[in-house]
Amino acid sequence: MNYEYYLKRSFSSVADIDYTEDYDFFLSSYNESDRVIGLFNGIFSKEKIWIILSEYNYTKNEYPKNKNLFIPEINTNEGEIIRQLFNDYNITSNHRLCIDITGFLRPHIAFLVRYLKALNFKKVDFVYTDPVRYRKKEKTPFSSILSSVEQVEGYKGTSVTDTSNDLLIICTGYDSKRTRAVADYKKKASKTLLFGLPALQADMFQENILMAYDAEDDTGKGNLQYLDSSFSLFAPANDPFITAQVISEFVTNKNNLKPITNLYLSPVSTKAQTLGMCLYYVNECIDKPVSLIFPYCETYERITTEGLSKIWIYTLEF
Amino acid sequence: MNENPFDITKAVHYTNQQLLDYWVNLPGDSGFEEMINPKSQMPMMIVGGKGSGKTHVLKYYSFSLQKLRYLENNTQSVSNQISEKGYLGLYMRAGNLNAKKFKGKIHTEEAWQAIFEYHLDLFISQISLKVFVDLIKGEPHLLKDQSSICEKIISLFDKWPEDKIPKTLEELLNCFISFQKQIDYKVNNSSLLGLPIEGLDILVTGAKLILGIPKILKEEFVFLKNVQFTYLIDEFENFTETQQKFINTLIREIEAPVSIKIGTRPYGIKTLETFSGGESIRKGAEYEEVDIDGIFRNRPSDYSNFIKQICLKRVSESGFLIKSNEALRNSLEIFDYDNLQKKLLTLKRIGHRSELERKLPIEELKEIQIIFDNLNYNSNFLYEKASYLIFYRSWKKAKSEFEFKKESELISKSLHNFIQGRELKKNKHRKILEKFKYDFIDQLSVENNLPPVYWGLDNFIRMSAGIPRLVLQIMKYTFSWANYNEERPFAMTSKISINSQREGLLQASDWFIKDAQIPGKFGVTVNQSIHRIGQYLQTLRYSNTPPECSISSFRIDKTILSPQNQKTLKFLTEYSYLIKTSDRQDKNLERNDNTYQIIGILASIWGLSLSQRGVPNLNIDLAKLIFDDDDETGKQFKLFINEIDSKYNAPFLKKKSKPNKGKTTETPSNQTKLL
Repeated sequence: MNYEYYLKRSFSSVADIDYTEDYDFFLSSYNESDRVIGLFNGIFSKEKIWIILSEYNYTKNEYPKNKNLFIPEINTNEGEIIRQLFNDYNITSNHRLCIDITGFLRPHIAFLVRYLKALNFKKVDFVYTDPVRYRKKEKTPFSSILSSVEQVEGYKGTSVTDTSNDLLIICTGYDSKRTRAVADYKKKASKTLLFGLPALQADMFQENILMAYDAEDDTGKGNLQYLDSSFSLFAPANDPFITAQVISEFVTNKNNLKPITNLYLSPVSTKAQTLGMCLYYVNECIDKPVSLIFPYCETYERITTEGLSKIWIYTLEF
Repeated sequence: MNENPFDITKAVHYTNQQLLDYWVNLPGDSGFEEMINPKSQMPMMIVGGKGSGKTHVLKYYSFSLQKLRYLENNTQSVSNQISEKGYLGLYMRAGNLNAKKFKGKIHTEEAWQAIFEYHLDLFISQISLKVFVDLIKGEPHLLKDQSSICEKIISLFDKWPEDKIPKTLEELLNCFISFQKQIDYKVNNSSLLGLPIEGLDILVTGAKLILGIPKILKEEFVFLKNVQFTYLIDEFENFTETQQKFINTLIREIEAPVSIKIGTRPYGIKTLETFSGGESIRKGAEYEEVDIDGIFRNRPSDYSNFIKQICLKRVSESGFLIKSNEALRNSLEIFDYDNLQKKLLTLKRIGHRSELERKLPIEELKEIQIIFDNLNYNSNFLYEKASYLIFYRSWKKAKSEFEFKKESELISKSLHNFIQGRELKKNKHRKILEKFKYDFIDQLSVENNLPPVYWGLDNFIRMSAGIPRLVLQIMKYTFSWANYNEERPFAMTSKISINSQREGLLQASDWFIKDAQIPGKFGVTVNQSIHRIGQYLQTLRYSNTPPECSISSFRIDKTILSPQNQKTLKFLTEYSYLIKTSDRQDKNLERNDNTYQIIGILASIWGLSLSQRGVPNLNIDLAKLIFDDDDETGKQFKLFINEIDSKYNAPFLKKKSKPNKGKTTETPSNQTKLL
């Protein structure tokens, strides 16, 4: 599988977007970031839907006015939410979809990819907007209290009794606590971290490495491992296709050396890399002893970044 | 740069060979074999905190490591040695099952449970079959005809779907794998599409495979005549409550040749109930409980030797020439009071003297000078600290005008008597120094911005409170700092400095807090409570008149706590923030209080003692201030700390609401990290 053939395009503003087709639905998770709202308002689509995720803790007064809102019931998981959304709006594989993943939470992005594949969608555009910077650099808070680490709906895989060569690949970002949580949850597995390089902005790679050291005890084997390519993987922070490619090649090589018993994937870095990890899964891992695990938190920060540096449109073909 | 011998601190990161290489038995009369007793029929719960070594111990008795050991000792075949040892360890980690997926709104809990039980039966049985596939590969003579054994195992099923009957154990194993995959596939698809599971035949029920396969194997293999099949189920905490009920039911129903040993964290047992009418399994009658942490804590000398052996193995495996416990101890610089004394003499201002100078409500310089002449004693600052404590205590007790000069003269006399060995029986300095010597050392260090004395391997072992990983973690960071400071750690001619040990300990304490984090909002409450306890005990210990010596503990009558606060206290203990020590009886009130000590690795954050002597009581009001988690309580706690500060520190202001004057209104500046 060569993921580099997938199409990705970048634009410096919403006005510059070059439409290849008309979208029937544009889906976005509501979030006050300028980059999310600006895109929602500017993009052309027959129907645009804001999804109000309860993890952002928006009150009714704060909901966007005069818009098409989808408000899921509370205490529903990503699978239930997305399935309900598709049912309510009767979205089928005949429709042309565009999904802005910038404001979505990672498990919802993951489920979307898996669900679209199950519903036989052939092609879907995913949009991601790069920020200029994180608000408090590597100290930016992203999530509140950890609830638990769980397998993501649709990515539960099978499991084998042999655990002698289990592997956990974590796409790691600034949220080092979550990297720790995931690593601790799959203690037995050997760990490989995938870093965003090039990062979204030049200084972000160093900040990312700094935070990875915070999780060092749970993820690895000591000194300087994160600057050593035998312990770590690198893929551009805003490129899902290279991310999928890097993971695919790494897993293939590992399997050639010694078959991996159980493979765990965990996306806690950028949403573009989350998309890449999921793309790799749906192409190569369904019905295998591979699962996607995620550190679910009670709430998430609404605004973590500043500015809009670039808009990316990734076309996923299933 | 040297390789850090302590880089890996978790058994799960080891290969089987490393687990064997780094294995150290618990010294003393009763080692791990006696403790775990792998060939005993009695089921067992092996309870231990994070880092207690449960996984290492359980894996040591698993077939994979049995085989490695027996191959190393190649005087006999593996099967013969299994026969001789009398057990076969079948290890599985609950986490590997991903058991959480057997839930969801699509089906009832009962339906999910049936699927889970079927899945578990197949999963665990694969482990037994794999062991025998492996054994037969190594020793083909063990079983010539495998088809009859396959038939017998197939007969355990309520229904067998395959047209072709497997003829070998390997083929049978592949059938089991394919049945399990079918379950995984259907469960996953159901949760993806939100549709009920359809067409899943549950082919076997009631753990028939888990219990039945060992019996069949035993009948077929001669070497198994006196061998027990011991299921070693690790990470019990990863099962849901209903799933644990199923395992508990197995414990109740298990019979020869099968036994179960379960590894769990203290908070991992969600229920002891079974499906036998909801009855609970009974400790002692139906299962034994081994509390690894408790065993380590109750055998301090064996534990200390055990840890030193672990460290020595790691250090020597990394190529260093340290070969004995003594050499290992000597490779870390330890506290030396003479050095502290010398250092204090070089200081321009000494903390406790400056403090008294600020606090004395006397204007006449000459009188101040006399008081200091009477109290100060450059030859030994511990003696001087004793004089200050006596002075502050008298000041605190004074009902009317306190005669500072006169009291200082009496203290000077007491000191001289003490030095000259006169009237020692009644001597105040003797009595105080007997109790408070180590408090004075820590106070002198903190007041003068020097680190408290937690250094050296023996102290690190005490700080770990029976959790081996904590020592390894402290040593790991300490080694890194020593390397960074170019100290050549573990080279025979050099010692790891106090500075590197201090940095290492700081990092390890920080790691502990993050590592022991409890998920969810409740984790925040627990974290807040331990910080309040630490702050309270620190305020007492570093006051002018500590009410007790060697403070690091408190006692409490748990029955006074609300259910929520009892839960917080329980979690603090289960996550090893607090160590429950011996119960104390309050003779006056005729009640039994529980005593808790802050674990040493955290005690260092607040500069608390590693010993346990003085044990302040938490009454109901104080307990609420510590454990309640609302914002108002947070404010009240701060006020309370200010009150305590005023009560135990000169000038001993007594009225609550009156704003304090001068410098004593603030909590001591050393209430954050002292190291």
